[in-house]
Amino acid sequence: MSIELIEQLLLALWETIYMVALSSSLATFIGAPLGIILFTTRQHNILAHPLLNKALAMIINGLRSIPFIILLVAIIPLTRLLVGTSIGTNAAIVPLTMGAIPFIARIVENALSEVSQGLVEAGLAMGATPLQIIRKILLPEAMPGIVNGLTITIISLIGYSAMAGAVGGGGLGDLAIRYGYQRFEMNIMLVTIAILIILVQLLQMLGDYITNKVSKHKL
Amino acid sequence: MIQLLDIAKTYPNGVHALQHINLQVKPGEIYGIIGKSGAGKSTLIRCVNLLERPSSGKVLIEGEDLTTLFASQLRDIRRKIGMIFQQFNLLNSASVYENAALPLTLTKMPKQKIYDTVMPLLELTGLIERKDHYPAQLSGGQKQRVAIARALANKPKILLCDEATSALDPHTTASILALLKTINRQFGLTILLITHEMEVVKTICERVAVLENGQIVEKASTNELITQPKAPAARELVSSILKQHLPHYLQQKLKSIPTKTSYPVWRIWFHGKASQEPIMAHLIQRLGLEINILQANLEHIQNELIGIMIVEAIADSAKLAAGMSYLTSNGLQVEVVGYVDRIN
Ligand SMILES: Nc1ncnc2c1ncn2[C@@H]1O[C@H](COP(=O)(O)OP(=O)(O)OP(=O)(O)O)[C@@H](O)[C@H]1O
Ligand SMILES: [Mg+2]
Repeated sequence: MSIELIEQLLLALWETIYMVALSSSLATFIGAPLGIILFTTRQHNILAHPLLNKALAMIINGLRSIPFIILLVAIIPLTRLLVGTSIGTNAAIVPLTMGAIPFIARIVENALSEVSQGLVEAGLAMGATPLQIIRKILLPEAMPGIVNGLTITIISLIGYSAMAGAVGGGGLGDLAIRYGYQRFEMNIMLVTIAILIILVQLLQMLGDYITNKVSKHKL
Repeated sequence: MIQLLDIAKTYPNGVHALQHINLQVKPGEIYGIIGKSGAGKSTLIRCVNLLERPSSGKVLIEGEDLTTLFASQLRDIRRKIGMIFQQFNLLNSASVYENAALPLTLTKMPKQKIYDTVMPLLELTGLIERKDHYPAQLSGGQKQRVAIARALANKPKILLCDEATSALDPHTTASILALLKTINRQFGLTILLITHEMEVVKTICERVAVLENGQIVEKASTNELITQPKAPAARELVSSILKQHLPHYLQQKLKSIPTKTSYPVWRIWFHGKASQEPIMAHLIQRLGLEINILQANLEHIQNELIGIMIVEAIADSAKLAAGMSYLTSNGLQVEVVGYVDRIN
């Protein structure tokens, strides 16, 4: 393999990591609060607001039901607006983030709903505000579930980033398709796949490590 | 001081969980509410700190009606009302120390001051050595001790206990009740507890209300309730600790009318007022009655002897009359249950 190819591979790896890291951070930044709102505005919950809850749930379900490949194309105008272009790694971040937000919102909502209602009651009984209940009770207790769900989302994002790459976003997926598929250079394809497998393994290990770290009390 | 004035609670599904609840808990006392499953106990205790908002009526704490307060005022009052639960409700993600300190970390109290407040409470509840453990590593009794330490962290005047010992074995229950009694004395804490176990009421409550189908059917001191239960629900509860029913074989032998060869069976109620003198010995030695004890259920309840003894009294009618009047003059209540024939 030529030096030039290795450089290309490294660049593609970097682009993939860059896209996934940035889009999962952004999606968490937006999706996690949405998940918290989804949970706490449920009926009888600490910020009960059935109307808001229903509306938000509908939007999130709607987003979630759009296949990623369609989302990719459908939001091109939005991408242009935000990034100024619809091709390139930065442009890929917009659909990746949009696709991950509803997943993360649901993951967070789900993890919060696993926390025993009794704990929330205990918090209310000791005079905690809704915000304190979220910060001091719900989030710490739900953290193992949240981290676990985030790991899954990030790993899926690697897959999606390959798709985004194929339509001009760069990254490993782009490379694999350009060389492996269009030029029949099988070895490049295989190396790309190997790198992806290692990347996913490492992420899963890291995710498991953090999950363990935040739930070590559940010995 | 807790006052509940004509509290009613109807759930949205139409269940009348509480009706006409009037209750007054004096400062520093341990008050029990007892009732069977579904009687409305949890609903009632949750109304006291407005975890459940009553449909009507007033909840007065130190004279202030909680139902009229804004959310922030209510939170301030709740800080002064500790609460413990059947399922402990501890944070799994927090250590014993962090759990006990939780109410204080919600305030702006400096770390050192929190430490100085929490450590004595862990000492009191016997958890110092466990302070860095997590709830998953504790027994049920230890978890409830953490919950008690947590409930005390804000130095409350009132402690609410929602079936605090129902998930614990009898031995652990006893130690938790002893701890509640200790903090009641030490801090002058007013305790309102709900339970379905007469044993719990008997052990620590001074006064008790019996709840049935959402209504209070009887209010009494614990001694009164145990010796003279009036409402059917109260009798049923009391009989759970004092088996007043005669064994089956005896019931069959019992006749309602005396014959020449039969002797009376007495049920003697000890009310706690009776002196420490040896009553039975007196009956036998001084008055010459032959006493055959068929059943005895005596309990020391808050330092008084309470209970029931069922005896066969064998003597001639004059001695029987003398024995009977001796017992009544000593403050005991005697009832002739029936008559049995002496076969031997
Ligand atoms: N959130 C609710 N919505 C509707 N009905 C309820 C609710 N909570 C309780 N109930 C009903 O109100 C009645 C009283 O319930 P509550 O939980 O207060 O009884 P309890 O005496 O505490 O019983 P247990 O000993 O089983 O805990 C029951 O009939 C119950 O089904
Ligand atoms: Mg209950």
